[in-house]
Amino acid sequence: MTDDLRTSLRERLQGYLTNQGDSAGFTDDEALFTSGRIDSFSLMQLVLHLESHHGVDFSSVNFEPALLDSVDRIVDLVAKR
Amino acid sequence: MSLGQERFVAAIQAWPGRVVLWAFAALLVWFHTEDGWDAMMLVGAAACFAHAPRSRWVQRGWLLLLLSQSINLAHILNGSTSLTEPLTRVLHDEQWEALNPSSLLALGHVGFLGLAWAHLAWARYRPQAWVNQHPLLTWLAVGGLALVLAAPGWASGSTRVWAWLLVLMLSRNVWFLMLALLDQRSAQRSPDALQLGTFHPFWGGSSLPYGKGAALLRKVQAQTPADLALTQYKGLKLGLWSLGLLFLERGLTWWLEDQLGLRQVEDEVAAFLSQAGRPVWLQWGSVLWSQFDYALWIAAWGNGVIALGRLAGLRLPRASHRPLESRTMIDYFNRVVYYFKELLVDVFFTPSFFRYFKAHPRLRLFFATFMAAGVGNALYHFVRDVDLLPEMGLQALFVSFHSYLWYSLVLALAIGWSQVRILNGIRPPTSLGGRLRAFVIIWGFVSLMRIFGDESRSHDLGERLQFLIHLFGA
Repeated sequence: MTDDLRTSLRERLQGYLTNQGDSAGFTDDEALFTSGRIDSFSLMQLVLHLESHHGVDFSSVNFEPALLDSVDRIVDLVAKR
Repeated sequence: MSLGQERFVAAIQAWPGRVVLWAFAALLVWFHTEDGWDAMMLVGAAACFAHAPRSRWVQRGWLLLLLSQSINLAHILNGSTSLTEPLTRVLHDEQWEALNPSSLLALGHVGFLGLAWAHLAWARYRPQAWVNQHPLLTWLAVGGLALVLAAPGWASGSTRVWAWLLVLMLSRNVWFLMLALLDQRSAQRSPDALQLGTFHPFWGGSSLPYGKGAALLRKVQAQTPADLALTQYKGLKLGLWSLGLLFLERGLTWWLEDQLGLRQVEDEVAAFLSQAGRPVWLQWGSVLWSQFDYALWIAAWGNGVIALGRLAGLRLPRASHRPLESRTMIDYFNRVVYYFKELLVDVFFTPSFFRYFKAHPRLRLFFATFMAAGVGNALYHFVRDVDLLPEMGLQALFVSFHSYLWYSLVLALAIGWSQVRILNGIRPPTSLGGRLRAFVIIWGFVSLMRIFGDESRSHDLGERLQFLIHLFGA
């Protein structure tokens, strides 16, 4: 389950990066949003995806971009939902 | 990296390489600013920031604060900001001509930084206070009251002068303050000195924060000599690219405007309204050229600003990136005006997105997009151009804005609709034909919208609509 999630997240994040002309790879613990590699609007698209497909309720957490900064952090957040 | 690039990066880590790099950087900045002393000052600040030892003092932002605000004060005191003229006008109206407007602006700038610092401290002390939950509304209310007091015929003497000074300072700094206040809510907030150092940072920009706020700067600052050299290499490449775009823009302006007779769209509308008949293909040419010229100029200028930031060791995202490849409306804004879109998302989209219509995903996305592209866009431009008040008066200031308001409304509806389409599963085109169609639709739409959003305030909505209808042969 976690591996599937990790793979699908990586594909999604790679898509955001490619759209911004960033073809470099990334590691699972690499900061993508707070470092500016992926823009704020893609962050909101990710929020929408996590809410609708993984049942994450962001109203129960004090949202800040750092929460979803890397694949590892997103996987942790989904696991805690 | 290729071997040549690796050698280049290695060379600029040694002193002779650094000297050549900064001399070249000075030349790049000089081409943009056309002011030798200013170029020396900006490049000097960038070099100082890039190579200063990373002491605790520097890490906490004191060097950035010192460099950025020294340059700001130098610009204000030598009268090179756009604020001097509108303040001089009000000082003249109120017979306060003995007072030096530049000194008063410098005082206002330092005073506003003090106010901003106090608000940052208060936001930490009482985060649940209404003012700290709604900082933009608070400052807009303060600014609105000051605007009324500063308008001709509402107040006089010192009240009017101080109110006007506050309006000018807010117009110049309010978006920097909003980003700093958003950062106060973060678990790992940035130090105050770093926050205040990002208010008109030394690498340049406008009332729009190029490079965003302190939260991003902390993450993108080069930490090792090799990292710094690589960032500077990317800065140099971006600087050369921006210079190429600048020359292209100047060349095309000369050819299309001076030789072929195309005009900027506001001039074309003025000629149409004065019955100075011109062939419709020339009018179409002017509309398309105005939009292309805008995109070219903003890319040249914005990337020039970011290039200097990169030379200073900050791995900042580009200001404009392959705009002709846009596949959706939001993609267009992401590519053409990256930092403007980031500001609108951070200050307008995100709060609306988390606050309203959570149970209705399409409406939620549409509304948040509308708040950013419509309300935020209009508000940003109204606040930016508020210095027209002494010239136009309060009523005309609002009335003349209605065309841009219309522009923001239509644009917001278009972007919102584009977003909902994507949410409904309609993916952006990937085939060559699909991408070509997207290019024609997106650039055609934004070019026609430029008729309403040229920001000149010269013509009313009806006159611009007449011109649009005329373009289609009616």
